[in-house]
Amino acid sequence: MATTVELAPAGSQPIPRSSWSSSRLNDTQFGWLLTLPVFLGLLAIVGYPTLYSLWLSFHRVDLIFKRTEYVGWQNYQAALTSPTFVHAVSITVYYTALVTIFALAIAVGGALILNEKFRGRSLVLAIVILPWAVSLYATAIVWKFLYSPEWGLFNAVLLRLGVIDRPFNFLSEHLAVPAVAIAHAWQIAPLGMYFVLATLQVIPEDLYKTAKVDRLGSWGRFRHVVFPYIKAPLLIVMVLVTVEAARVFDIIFFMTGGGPGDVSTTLTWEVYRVFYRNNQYGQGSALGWLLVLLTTIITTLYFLLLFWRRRERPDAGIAGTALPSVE
Amino acid sequence: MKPLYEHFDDLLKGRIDRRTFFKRTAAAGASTPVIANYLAQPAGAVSHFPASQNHFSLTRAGAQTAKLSPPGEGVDTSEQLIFRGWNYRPEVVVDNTDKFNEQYDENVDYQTVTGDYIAIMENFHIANQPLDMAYANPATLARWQLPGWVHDYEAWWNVDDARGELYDGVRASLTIGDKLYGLPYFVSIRGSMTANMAILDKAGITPEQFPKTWDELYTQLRQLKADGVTEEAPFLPHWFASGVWYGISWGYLFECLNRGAMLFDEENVPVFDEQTLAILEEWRKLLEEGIVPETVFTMGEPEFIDAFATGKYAYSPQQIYDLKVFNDPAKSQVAGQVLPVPVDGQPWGLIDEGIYTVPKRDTDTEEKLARKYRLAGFFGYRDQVDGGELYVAKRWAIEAALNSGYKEILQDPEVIEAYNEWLPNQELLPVIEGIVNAGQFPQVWQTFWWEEWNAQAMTELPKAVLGQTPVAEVHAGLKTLAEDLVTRYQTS
Repeated sequence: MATTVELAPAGSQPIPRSSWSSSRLNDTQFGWLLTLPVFLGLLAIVGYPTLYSLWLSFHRVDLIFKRTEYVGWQNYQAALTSPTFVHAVSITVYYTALVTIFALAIAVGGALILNEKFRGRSLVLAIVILPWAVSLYATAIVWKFLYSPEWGLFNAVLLRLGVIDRPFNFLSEHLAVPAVAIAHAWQIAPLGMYFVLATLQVIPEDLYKTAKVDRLGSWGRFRHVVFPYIKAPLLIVMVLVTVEAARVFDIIFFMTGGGPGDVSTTLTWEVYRVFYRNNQYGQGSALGWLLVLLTTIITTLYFLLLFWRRRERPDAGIAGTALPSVE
Repeated sequence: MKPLYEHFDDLLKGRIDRRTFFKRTAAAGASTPVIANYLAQPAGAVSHFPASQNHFSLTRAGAQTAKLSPPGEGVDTSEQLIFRGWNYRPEVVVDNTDKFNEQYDENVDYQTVTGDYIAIMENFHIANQPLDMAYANPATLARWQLPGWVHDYEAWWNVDDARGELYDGVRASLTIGDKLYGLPYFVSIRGSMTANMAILDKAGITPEQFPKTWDELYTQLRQLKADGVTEEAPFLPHWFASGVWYGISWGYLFECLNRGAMLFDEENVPVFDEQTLAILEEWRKLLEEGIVPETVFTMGEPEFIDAFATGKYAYSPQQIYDLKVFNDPAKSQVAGQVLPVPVDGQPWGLIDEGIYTVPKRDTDTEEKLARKYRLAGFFGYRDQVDGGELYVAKRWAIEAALNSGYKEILQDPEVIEAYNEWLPNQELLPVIEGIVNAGQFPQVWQTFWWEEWNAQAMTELPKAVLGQTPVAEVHAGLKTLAEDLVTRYQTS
């Protein structure tokens, strides 16, 4: 027999509900309500500036005397036909490639060493992450001192060892970009090192043993056992490092100022120079959007590569770690 | 009734015609000379300028500025005064700010602006961010005055006394039109030639044989190199091009000024004569011959100073106040051996100044402006409470060898004693005075567009010297750039 429980005293009026209450919302609506403040915040600090810079890129703007003129695609046309743009793009690509190669090499090499067991490994594990915790500004200052021909450590060591007989200019016209790229790679590589190390630690020991039975040498073991596992994390690190390197600013600003001359003028530095120093806000914004386009193309290519690989290998694990074979 | 300047604005923006303008200004009480002054201007001269860009101003001419009174006892200081400056000895500035706050029961927030000071501060002004006192250089002063971002000091109660105590050249550099727009933080000569006797002694060069001109300097440097006195480049030129301050573009400007080569004429019209091209060609040769180091292009100003303090270079054009650094054993490897090269006919370098400006904001009331003036007066003039001396200026002179814009400072016995403590010999003070007195002030700094030309010259000049772009092409490009900027801002 069913019983009815009277929740309200008989004869009492239902409690009047306010005209608006979250309980009237379904879960989806309530979810949207909760995210609304964040969404509005993002709109204000990301959405508005982004749209404003897009608007700027189609105008010639004088913020000082408050003059604005619509110029259509002129800013983009001026940027794309300017020799400085072509130069800055080529330097950006060169710099990005160098940082990526150096950072991946340090990350993989470091991770392989740290995957071995040796005394003091825990301490080393803690120390190697430190460069990543350092800001790019501090990195620039430290490396500028290290490279200095006047008082730099590298020159002092090379002179003492008799490798050189006079101070060497690491930031010369021909070496400035690789020298800055090394400093940047040093700063960013520990992140990749930890990504790779985490993956190395889940490779089953049996695979190494099998590889030894199959008489594979160090390179063979790396290629057939290790690399299939670390390929996916490496691709993720590549994306992160590429984007970081492509939008580099601080380290260039403090180490070379885009020089000597313009040999280390990357696209971001060029955007800054045109926008803030030359007060060409429209053209600076157009350059900024071209930079966005460039980084989007590069990262899309990486992701296509990543997902194309994963479709090709449907047995890919959660981190893209396909079970390798040692045939 | 509208103030006069609004009628003037209406005219400039085409909201009223000339006839209406004259009717209204006459009704507003403008005197005949004011109108005559306006009519005397070339027809096109005012057509595109905002009112604040013109030297002539009805506001100025039509109304004599009344002096404000100092803030009274018990003035409300709950609203912070915002003071921003570049990063030089902030501990001294903090100490001075604390003294001011304590003395006047004030509420000043001082912070340094790190990074690209000029670009950042310009954005502060464009965005109308709260700012009550800020450092400026002579060129930025003019740039900030024209759009009306800074107050003049004409309403400050001590303006006439302060004006009278300044060096003539300094007063002129702080004056735009007929109004004082800045108070001196320091006055220096950037590019004063500095000699390292540790190297020159080896070559047998005595102070009497110091070069008198740029040509003599380059001849002597080539000789030093040929004689093998230095294995490395013997000259550290003012060509640093990294960081936030301007090296190579100022270096080019002062060498042109010192030699009498003409980049811009008296009206600031770009000239770029043959001699200015020859200077760039000479620079290229100096680099090729190994007289100067390529490393200078990736130095910022701090590294430029430190590099000379290593003692590796025979000569370098430096800030005159850095003589103290070069003769300080804690900072220099050639302390006691660095001398200023005297001016003997041709000047070295140009006048460089730090300036206290009082930014103008929409929220400024008379009371707040009086507080701002009191703050600027404390830093840029006299401490009115504690003995009435040039407290801050004197402290900078004693502690950092920053010379002041006030004549009194270099005659002060305490300052003289402090200078003589670090100068290698006591006969050098008159040499320093001679260099300062001969300092040249580039008129082009009083144009709105100089900073933009300067920023681009900073990138272009190294390309010419390094041979990345032909010298003549860079030279012609810089002239075209200046012409374009003149056209853009119509303020030649």
